[in-house]
Amino acid sequence: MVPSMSSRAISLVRQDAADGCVVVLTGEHDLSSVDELREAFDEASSARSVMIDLSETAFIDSAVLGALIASHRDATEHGRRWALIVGNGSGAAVRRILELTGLDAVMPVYSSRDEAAAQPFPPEGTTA
Amino acid sequence: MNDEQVQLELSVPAKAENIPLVRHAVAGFLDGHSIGGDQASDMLLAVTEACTNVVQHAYRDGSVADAEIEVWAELTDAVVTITVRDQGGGFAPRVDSPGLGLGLPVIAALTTTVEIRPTPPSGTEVVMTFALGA
Repeated sequence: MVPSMSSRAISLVRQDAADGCVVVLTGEHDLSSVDELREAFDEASSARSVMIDLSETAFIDSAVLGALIASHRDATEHGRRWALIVGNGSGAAVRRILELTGLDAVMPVYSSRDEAAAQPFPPEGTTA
Repeated sequence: MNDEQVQLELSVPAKAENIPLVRHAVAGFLDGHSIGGDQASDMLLAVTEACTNVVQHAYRDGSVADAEIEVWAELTDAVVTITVRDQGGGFAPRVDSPGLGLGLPVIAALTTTVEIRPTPPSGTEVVMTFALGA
């Protein structure tokens, strides 16, 4: 059964010591929350390391994918580390749409924040 | 068709905020037929993409005062059919689509069959079928 809409949330977790920011998406996200998501991704982009944590996300659609792709592209262009977290708690639709679109092969996807945090930063000044 | 078979018929204003409402109504319909798991998840993703298309594309010219998304769902002979219909001007592509044009390919990948057809005098319907156990 699909979780209730009331469980939907977007939260930013700052990791000042690591100059990082984690955007945690909880519940279901689609076109109706994509503007808020874009704002959160923009806010997170002031950090040098950005993680989008979908491990508590029940549902995303292609509108959300569009926002994720834009965030990834922006990070790449500005030499920031960017990672998508898809864990055991991610909903079936999250895995499915990433797999169907092939984006899980072109975006850095990790199973936990720790795994993502172990990845190296791009060299200073790197731009796409 | 069994007369006691539960069907779903729903019409809501074509606004993004109503997309979760439609998805949850379809989830309830599927739950009522004991359809769950990955198969239900695929149907909910497909219906969400179809509704997003309506909100994004169907009524862009603003000529329809009461822009709505109409949704039907039924289960017949182990096939779930979900139809999403609008009264708008069709799915003209747009360069600023937030879904990057992925919606229809995703629907095609998730469904057993999909038909997209005009509904004269105006509108479009997307008829998606899902064979259970397929």
